[in-house]
Amino acid sequence: MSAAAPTSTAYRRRASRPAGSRLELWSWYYFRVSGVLLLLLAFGHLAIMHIVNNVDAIDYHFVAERWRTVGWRVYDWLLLFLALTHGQNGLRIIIDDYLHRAPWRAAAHTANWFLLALFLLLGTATIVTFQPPPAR
Amino acid sequence: MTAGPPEITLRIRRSEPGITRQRWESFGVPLADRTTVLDALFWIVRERDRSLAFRCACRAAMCGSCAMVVNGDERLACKTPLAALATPIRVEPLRSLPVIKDLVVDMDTFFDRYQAVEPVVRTDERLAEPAIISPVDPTRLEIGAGLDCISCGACYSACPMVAADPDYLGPAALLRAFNVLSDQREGPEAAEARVAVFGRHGIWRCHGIQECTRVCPKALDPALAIRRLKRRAWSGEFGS
Amino acid sequence: MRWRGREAYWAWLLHRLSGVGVMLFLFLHVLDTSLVLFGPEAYEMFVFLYRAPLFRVLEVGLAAAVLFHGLNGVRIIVIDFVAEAARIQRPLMYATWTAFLALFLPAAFFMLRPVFPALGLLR
Repeated sequence: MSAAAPTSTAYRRRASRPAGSRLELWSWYYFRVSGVLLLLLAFGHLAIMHIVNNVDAIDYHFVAERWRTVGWRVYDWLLLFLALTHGQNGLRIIIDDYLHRAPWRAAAHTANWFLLALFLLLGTATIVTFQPPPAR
Repeated sequence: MTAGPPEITLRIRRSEPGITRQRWESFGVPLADRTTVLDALFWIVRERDRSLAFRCACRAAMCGSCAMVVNGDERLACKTPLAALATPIRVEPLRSLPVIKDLVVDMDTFFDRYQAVEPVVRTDERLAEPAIISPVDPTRLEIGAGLDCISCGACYSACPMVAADPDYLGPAALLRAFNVLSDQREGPEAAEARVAVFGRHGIWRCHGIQECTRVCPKALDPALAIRRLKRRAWSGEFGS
Repeated sequence: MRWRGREAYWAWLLHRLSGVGVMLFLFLHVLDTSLVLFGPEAYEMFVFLYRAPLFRVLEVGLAAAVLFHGLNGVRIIVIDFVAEAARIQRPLMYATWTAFLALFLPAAFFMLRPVFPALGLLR
């Protein structure tokens, strides 16, 4: 028995995700999710460091005091992680836009991942292992 | 002494790749009330230089043959009045396509992009009867908004991502892809067959620059079609 | 919707440039912050640098990049996910630029105020 002719409503209920690049799809979605979170975290960070405080006030003591509170370490690490992954995703897109020959693509993508890993590791190590001097 | 009709200067980019060097050539063309760029090109061929090469056919903005870059923007020469343009008027061939001679470009790559998206409806073989589609069905209206494409190549030429990525399918082919993928008469396998649309050189190379929509001589919106395709990729359905 | 202006093109270009710019700064920033692991002298060597008038002006540029990138990103999200937004793209662009100026100008003022004398902006 063959299928009946589809009507508009029958069509609308059909939900089949088309085949295609899953990486690009999730990257597109991740930009938006991470971007919204970054709006809060990054704007907040700018405000705290440059409006509420000032580079004049930011020194070792400032960082040590701030990172006594675990909450700020979590905040800063989330900002680090989201900013690096959001940005690395963007750089990946730029590489795909402009570099088309295989050796250049491979080299640029490798460098991109390497930079992400390096700075994520370095930043995480800083936030997690920093011990403020004992309070006097 | 009677003054002649007012004159306007056209600067045309001439070239025959492999034969002559690229050069700009200026022509003074008489300006009448509704002279178009195409009128001017015909006048130049008749009165000044029979070797000037350009394409045209209908002269009525229907066939898409005379698309070219006028003062930096993609236009149809037959419906671009000279009087409204800043002088001297720069006339160049479409971008991102190989130049054959002067204003004539090789459109093969452009039409290859259509082939890559399977631009015709693949009717679901399981359908025994004709599909019943209301003329005011929202999806049908969305498809209708994009059906007037005359394949002139203006959007393809204007898109910076086409310039950046030689394999990018481009706005015209993706607009057509949206039209056929939205069609209710297609079966679910149709999207599977058009993997290129949802791949690295398909919709994901579009960054919403909107040059395609800006220059389309038929006022179509390829950028919107591509956004809808992205939503389709995410949700599995078309929103409106 | 058609309009002759190239606002969307410039917005895309600025979005890309600001993104790359902030990323490059981020690499530098992770590096300079990691100096806290080596004690006050190491860390404050860099901070001292950032207090110089030139760097404070560059920081204003950074703030501009972050603010524009984020606000333009909101515009992109709205256009992507709100179907009706396709019809109001130009007002959305104006709103983005307005929000940018509303946030950036006060921020720039606060950031540059301490160095107004050094920049020759106060008697």
